Amino acid sequence: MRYEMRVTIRRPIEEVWAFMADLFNIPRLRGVTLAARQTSPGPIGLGSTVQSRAAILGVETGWSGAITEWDPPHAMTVSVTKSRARSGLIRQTFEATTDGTKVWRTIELELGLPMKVVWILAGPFIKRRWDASTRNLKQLIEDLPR
Amino acid sequence: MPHFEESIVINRPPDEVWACVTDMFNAPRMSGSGLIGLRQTSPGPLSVGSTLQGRRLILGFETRNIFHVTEWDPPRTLATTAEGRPFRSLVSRLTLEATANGTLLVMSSEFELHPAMKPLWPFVGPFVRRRLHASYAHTKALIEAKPR
Repeated sequence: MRYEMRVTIRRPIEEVWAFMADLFNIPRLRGVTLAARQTSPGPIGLGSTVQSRAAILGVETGWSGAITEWDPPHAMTVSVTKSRARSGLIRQTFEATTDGTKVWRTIELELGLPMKVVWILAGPFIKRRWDASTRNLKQLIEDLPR
Repeated sequence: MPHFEESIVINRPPDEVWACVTDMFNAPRMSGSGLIGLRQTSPGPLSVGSTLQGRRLILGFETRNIFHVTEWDPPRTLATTAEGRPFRSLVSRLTLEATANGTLLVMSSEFELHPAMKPLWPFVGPFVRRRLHASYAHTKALIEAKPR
């Protein structure tokens, strides 16, 4: 399963990156993430580990991951290391444009058979939430004081 | 000044309950008051004087709160004060007591609302009360669902 979202945010790329690189901001997007935190010591970067909790249709689930790409302010990728999915990847890329910053958010999940069945039911809901979180991302960053 | 107090018995020893309720990662899962994030902003382990940053959704609007730990006595008592909208002041206290059935968790809070929020309280208050009540039951369920 691969899902891609795009949005243009009317703010410089550095501001968009700073917002996205702070895991404390992720639940503010009001997607499915309840909480996210870094679990490795030191500043966040390549190799850092993260832990997250999500609520999907009222059911809580957790996942852990590691940052496998960290190229400020252009790209960040989190590879899921432990979750209900077999494997997963969350990649976000940023490109400066004349209007601000173009953001691509890509989620790739490889699901086992039981989760494929769950996905048939929950998938449309989850995609709607992801889309909403991308809209909220734009709104939150554009609302930041200049 | 509005005051809330709820108590619940959790079928787990105080150490386990303490570890769960003082882990800020769990705060949005347990809070019924719209908390969407809580993190420590002072260095070192949590203790009296530590500060925390919180974000809360109130009627769809995001607010920021700064919490100060005023009492820290593991695994018995945690008290905080908070600044930031919609509160003019907020004092919260958690106490844990070992019982034959596990741990008696008592959560109380007393707050004064920002003047702009006061007229809304008669309408919002019952809703907040219900959400808080539900969150305590949720906290119990979350902790008891953890494997022993």
